[in-house]
Amino acid sequence: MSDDDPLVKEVDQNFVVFEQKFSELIQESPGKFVLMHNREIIEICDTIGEALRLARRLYPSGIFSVQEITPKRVNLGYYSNAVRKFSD
Amino acid sequence: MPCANFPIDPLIGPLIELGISAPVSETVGGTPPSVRWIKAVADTGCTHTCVTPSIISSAGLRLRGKVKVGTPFQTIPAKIYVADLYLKYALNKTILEFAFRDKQITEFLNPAPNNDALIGMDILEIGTLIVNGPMQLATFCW
Repeated sequence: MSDDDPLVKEVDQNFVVFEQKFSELIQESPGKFVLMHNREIIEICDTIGEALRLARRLYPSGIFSVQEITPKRVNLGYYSNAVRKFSD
Repeated sequence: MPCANFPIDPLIGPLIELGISAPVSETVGGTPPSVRWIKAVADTGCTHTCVTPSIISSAGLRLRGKVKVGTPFQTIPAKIYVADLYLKYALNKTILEFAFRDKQITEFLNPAPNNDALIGMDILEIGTLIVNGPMQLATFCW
């Protein structure tokens, strides 16, 4: 999957907006999931399954992203060095 | 409470058979997604389950987001996919499958030759993991 892939672009662009709005989102909706499309927050859902089912109806092409509103960072422990840089 | 027993490889760690498929939540129509079975290491030092890109691709998972991953040197964004994960367990001598729906997984890019995934604390914290060193056996109940 290249960086020119429409889904990669969508996820990248949505993630920039998600990070910009994160401090606001974590105050208002911690632990919930944001459905995003075209750099906009479409819906805040209680579960990721709910977000996926809604996205399936709204965006049959599959071009959307879902971000969890959590301050937790992923740590792969011993294997952390195995993670490739995705993009900045 | 379902329980799965699995061996501990002295060189790799607790090795468990893990099923992975595209999430039912994203399935269009009535056909359930096919489950691919892979070897995974139960790793309590890993916060989130991660899977190799080749398995992600063959299971038909789609990119769904990004997440910040902490490494020894920096914090970097990584790809997030959503999958249904499965564990096998025995009940009255019958092998059953339990589904953990809509789990977020990250890419695992430098796996050991004998495993394709790490089962992280996102799954393990759901239940109880018992390590029996002398028996080289682990049990996970959830």
